Amino acid sequence: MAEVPTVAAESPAAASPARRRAIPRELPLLGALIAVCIVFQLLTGLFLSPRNLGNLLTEAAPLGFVAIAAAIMILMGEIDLSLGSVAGLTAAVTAVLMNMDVPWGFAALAGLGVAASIGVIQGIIVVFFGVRSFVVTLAGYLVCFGLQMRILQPNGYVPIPASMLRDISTTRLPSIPTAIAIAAAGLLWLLFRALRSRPGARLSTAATGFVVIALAVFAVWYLGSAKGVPLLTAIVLAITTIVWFILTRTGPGLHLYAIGGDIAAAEESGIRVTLIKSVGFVSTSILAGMAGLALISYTSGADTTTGTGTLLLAGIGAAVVGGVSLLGGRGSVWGALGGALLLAGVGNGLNLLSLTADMVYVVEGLVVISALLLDAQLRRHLGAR
Amino acid sequence: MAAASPPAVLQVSGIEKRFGGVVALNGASLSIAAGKVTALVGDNGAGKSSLVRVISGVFSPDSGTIHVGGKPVAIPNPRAARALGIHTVFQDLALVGCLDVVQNVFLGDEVHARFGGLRMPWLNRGHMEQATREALDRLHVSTLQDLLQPVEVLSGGQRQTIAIARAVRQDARLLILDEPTAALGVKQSRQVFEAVARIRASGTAVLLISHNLREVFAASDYIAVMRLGRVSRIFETATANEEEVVSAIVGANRRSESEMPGSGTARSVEGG
Ligand SMILES: Nc1ncnc2c1ncn2[C@@H]1O[C@H](COP(=O)(O)OP(=O)(O)OP(=O)(O)O)[C@@H](O)[C@H]1O
Ligand SMILES: [Mg+2]
Repeated sequence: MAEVPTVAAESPAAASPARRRAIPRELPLLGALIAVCIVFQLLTGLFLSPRNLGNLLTEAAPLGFVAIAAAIMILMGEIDLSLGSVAGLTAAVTAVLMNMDVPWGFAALAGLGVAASIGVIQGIIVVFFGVRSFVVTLAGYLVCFGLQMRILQPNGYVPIPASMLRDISTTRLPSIPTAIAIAAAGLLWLLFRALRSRPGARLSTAATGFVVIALAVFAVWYLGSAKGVPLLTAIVLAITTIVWFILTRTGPGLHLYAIGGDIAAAEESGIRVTLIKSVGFVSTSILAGMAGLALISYTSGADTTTGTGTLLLAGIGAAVVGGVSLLGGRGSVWGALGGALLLAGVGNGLNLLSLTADMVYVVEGLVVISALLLDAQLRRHLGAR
Repeated sequence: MAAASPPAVLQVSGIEKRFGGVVALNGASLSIAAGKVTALVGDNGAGKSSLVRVISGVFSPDSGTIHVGGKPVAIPNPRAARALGIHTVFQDLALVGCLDVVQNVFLGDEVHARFGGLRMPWLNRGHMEQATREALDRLHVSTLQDLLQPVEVLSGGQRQTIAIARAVRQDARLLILDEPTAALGVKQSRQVFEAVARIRASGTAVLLISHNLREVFAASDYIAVMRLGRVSRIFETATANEEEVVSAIVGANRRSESEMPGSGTARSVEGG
């Protein structure tokens, strides 16, 4: 039994290689974002101008919503192909109601209600009848797209009257109050974090926190030299923060990750799988509806192309580029949002270069593929999962 | 034996469970005594894990009754089982690979932050981390330093230890271990059985499933043999010999199966 002490003495050392953290899943995304900024700035000379960045952020909002929704779905081990046409249907319903003199708030709520009920129906079919979400949401996509075209008859286009909803996409936040609010909220949060973290980790927590706050304040100040931070961007960020908090800090959020990671283990652990999945379906449909509202605000109306086209696939692509694993259970909504920013940035940059729309699709597709290839390579070489 | 045996913590009788054409449980009956280790043995596919899953609320049985502490109960889901004090280490461990050690130990039973006695919607990570460390310490686990790594990067034995730590984290009325040492080294297995002995001494009933008869004889008070979806015989470990148990498992002695001395206990449960 002379070997027992040896084993015990070795074990702390043996444990240390395992301590090595896996590389962050968002790392390739960060690299790609920086590369896109540099390349397009060099090619166009105005990609990074405050004015263009403001436009880019506004354009990216609908895709951001869909990317978050797609991320939630993929995290829980499902896929939703109806997100784009749910956005379109929400836009159509809201626009038509607003034209019938329904106040914009009620019209938007009704639109979101339609989106939510589609989520309920799809969720029930998947969760309680066990039909694959791929099939259910593919059918849902067709149904919603059909309804959208029907509602928008006879012209296929319904403009919305002047309203707060229409103004949301053009509203910019005043930079000084915004910067102060961000700094104050950031410092409070930092204080809270620093108090709760271990004494040894306090310094690094504080340092990273200050860098993040400084960057945010700088961004607000920089955008302020044009018109300010788009209100839509602030809304997207707020909703992403809420979703991130729920997913990572609450029981149901953790359970959603568990369901996507290993559904059998989740069931054996007593997780309410059907409830969580149903809520997941409803909330992603509502997020898609929000994308629809952002789209009518941005284009001042709804038409038969609203929400169709590449919105859905770009949303799923954004989530995957942002490190959300198609296997389920791995990734974050911030990554998905970053992925949306990347794809929107590429689209915006190509527009500045006056590349035609057809080629924009091709390049966006190539960006998704290259990001995934890079990701796969990195993981293979660094031995991370 | 029936008269002398301590009070039953759990009694199942006449449990049937079918999966399409496959009959997993065919009228299984078993009574598990407080403060005793009951071993459940049987060939692959005999229905041991299926019975565990019924008792743990993962499967609902097609028919049959379950009594806990003498009262008839339904166990519709694993939460209900936990509420009844039934904690289980499943054969597949029920760990989620992408979650970390702490998240797995508390999965489905998370501790929420409190603010002046009020339950907050967010979780109390610090508390759960502390409790996880304590649960692992009680099992004398020293090879797990980092509780924040996803369990998928851990070895099979480490994962098994985590699953055990999860089940023994709280005081249980009945602890079920479905092949708990299948992936463990000699030293870790011994630690698990030391823990089992401590848990038994505290009055908890233990249901232990194992293919390792040496372990079974060393650790159990009773040995229940499952064959073809039912409990065919029950031995008292002290008076049983290994050969009898093996032949009950493989069903070599057909005649003894039809007589089923052990099923007398089971029948009386059904009757009462
Ligand atoms: N979810 C399921 N679906 C279909 N059949 C199942 C399921 N679970 C168990 N069975 C079947 O029930 C029978 C009993 O399986 P069970 O897992 O209970 O055996 P076991 O005694 O635990 O075997 P082992 O020693 O290999 O773990 C097997 O024939 C198995 O195929
Ligand atoms: Mg088994």
